[in-house]
Amino acid sequence: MFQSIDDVQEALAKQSYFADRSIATTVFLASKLGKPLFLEGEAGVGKTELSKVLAATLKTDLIRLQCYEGLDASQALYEWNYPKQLLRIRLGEATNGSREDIDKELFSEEYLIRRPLLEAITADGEQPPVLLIDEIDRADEEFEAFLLEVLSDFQITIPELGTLKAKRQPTVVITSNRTREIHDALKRRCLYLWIDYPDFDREYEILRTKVPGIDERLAGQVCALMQQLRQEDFYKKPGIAETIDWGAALMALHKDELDAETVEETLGCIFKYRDDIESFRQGNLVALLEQADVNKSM
Amino acid sequence: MTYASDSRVLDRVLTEIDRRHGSLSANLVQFAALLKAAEVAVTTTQLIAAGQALGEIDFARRGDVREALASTMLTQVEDRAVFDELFDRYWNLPRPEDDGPRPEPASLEPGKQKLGIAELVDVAYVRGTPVSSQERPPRSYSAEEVFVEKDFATYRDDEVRAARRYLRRLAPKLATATTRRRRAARTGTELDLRRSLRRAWMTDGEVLKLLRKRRRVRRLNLVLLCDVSGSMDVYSRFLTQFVYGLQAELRRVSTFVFSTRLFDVTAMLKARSFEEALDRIRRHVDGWSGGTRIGGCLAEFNRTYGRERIGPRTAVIIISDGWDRGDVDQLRREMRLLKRRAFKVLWLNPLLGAKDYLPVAQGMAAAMPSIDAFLPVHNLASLSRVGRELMSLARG
Repeated sequence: MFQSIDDVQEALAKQSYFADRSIATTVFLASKLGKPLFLEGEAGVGKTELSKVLAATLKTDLIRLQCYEGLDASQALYEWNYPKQLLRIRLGEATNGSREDIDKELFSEEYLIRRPLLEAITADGEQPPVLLIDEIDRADEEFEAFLLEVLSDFQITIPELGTLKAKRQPTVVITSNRTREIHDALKRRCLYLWIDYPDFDREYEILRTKVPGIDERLAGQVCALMQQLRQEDFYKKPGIAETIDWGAALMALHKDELDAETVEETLGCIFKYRDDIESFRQGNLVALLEQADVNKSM
Repeated sequence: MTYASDSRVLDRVLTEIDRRHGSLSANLVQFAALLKAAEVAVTTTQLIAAGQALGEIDFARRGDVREALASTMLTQVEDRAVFDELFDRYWNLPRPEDDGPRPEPASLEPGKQKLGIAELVDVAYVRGTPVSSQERPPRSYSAEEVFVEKDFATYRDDEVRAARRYLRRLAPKLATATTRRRRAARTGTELDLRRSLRRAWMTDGEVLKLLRKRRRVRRLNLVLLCDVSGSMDVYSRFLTQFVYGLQAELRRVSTFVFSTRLFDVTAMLKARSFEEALDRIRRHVDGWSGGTRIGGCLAEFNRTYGRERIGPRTAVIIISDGWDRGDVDQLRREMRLLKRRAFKVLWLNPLLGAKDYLPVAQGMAAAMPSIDAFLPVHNLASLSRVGRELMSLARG
């Protein structure tokens, strides 16, 4: 449990996540008020990473539910293990087991397949787990309504077993890439946080930590160029992951300075779409590099 | 949680705030009312959270107060600018004098407010059109009625924003109607015992493989062909935004814009707004706004994308005023081809909103025989009708 906003910032920094004040404030409040965090932002700004780091900070498990179109309760909550149940019946028949025994056993927890939501609710570790519901915009609207139900009281009723209630509420993080609008009803239950691309200082710090040993000057150039690229009009702007990948690639190539040729060779680390690579090539790379140099030395 | 218990919790939270910070709770409620006036609705649940949040942070740090309120009161980043503006103005105001009794949360009518607040309400309310708070029209039913009947082309900037918010709320409403129906029809999606046992015949009654039933998903694909020549881009913009809200109910939406040429903007719209996409095309294409060649653009669509994007469950929506500079016979031919391939063809025409409009423009007349539904699209009311039409197709 966090004591203050500064406390959050420090704890996250220990896990190499450099949260700005707005992120730290919202995380702090989420833990204090016991509300889910609803994270939105461009792809690659560190939404998923934040929940991983949060789990590490709280010294607990991360339970992840990756959403996709058609995701339903049996994939998110629980399912009976039918094949195993059938085997049990056959075994009972073969060994002349009593009917009562089979009846009793068949719908016990042994035959229950726990999916992430149930797992999060029934977790009995020392600390309640962090439940990450990733990319909820990919799931159907029906699932949102279902999730709303689960998140409001953290209990699940399984007809054959009874009601299971979380002993302590898990820390819930929901992320969305905004490929569609999420219902307000769900968002209003959460604390809303828009995560932006990091500014130069934060990104520089991240890069130096994630790629230890990277040349200071090179790291500065990389971050400055990235900051600049995000101002430009690309289909998929490079995120933090790209910065780290690129930094690591440059390290591996033993580069300690950026020049046009090096950038050209490693474009694949920065852009994931052919269109973007082409429109980048049309731009004036030399000017960008000079600009990056000026910015960095500021 | 019922409404009654919600307001009890709220009372408790507000009292607690006042115990710590003087008459702050009234300010909080007032601030929420301001946001609401600026079309950023804050629910009781959110207000409770905001109150609780204020109890957890160092009140002397203005930045923390701002983030605490933003994270509890907002649900989308688009509202952040309005929020920041109101926050700065509101919380920098001198505290209301402590002589009178503090205003009750319920008595927020502008007339009773001190001057500063009344001005703020105006800022929040009209942003751009100064109206004094006394004259401010109440958000009555009739005002909304007038608004939904107003032609998109005559919108002021603030009305554009209001209309967007209206559409954002409308879309889920239309969509839920479908969702319920689907759920009711959703029996036995789990194990298919019948088929499993039948198959067990082959293995002497031993069930070796468990077969499952799946809900049959037959969602609608949608192709939007948007005329953006002349003044059509206004209508196209609202349509695409509206359809975006319905996307969850559809399987795939492809969006094309055309004037003299056709462009696939589907991928672009994932990352940017309709206006930005249009700007980008305008910058890169010469002679973009030189009139309309509907027939030629349809031919290009049919040739290049027809096979791939149109299947038996694809509805095509064309939005255009039908003023065609091109070859009328070609238009007739291509429309017929489109109609043959697609599940349904809808033509939306803003001119239909005018009472005396008849589809006699040559282009429009040529297209008419191949159209399943011909609908107006000039205001919010007609757009909702398009939405209902679309949802009934999606359910079909």
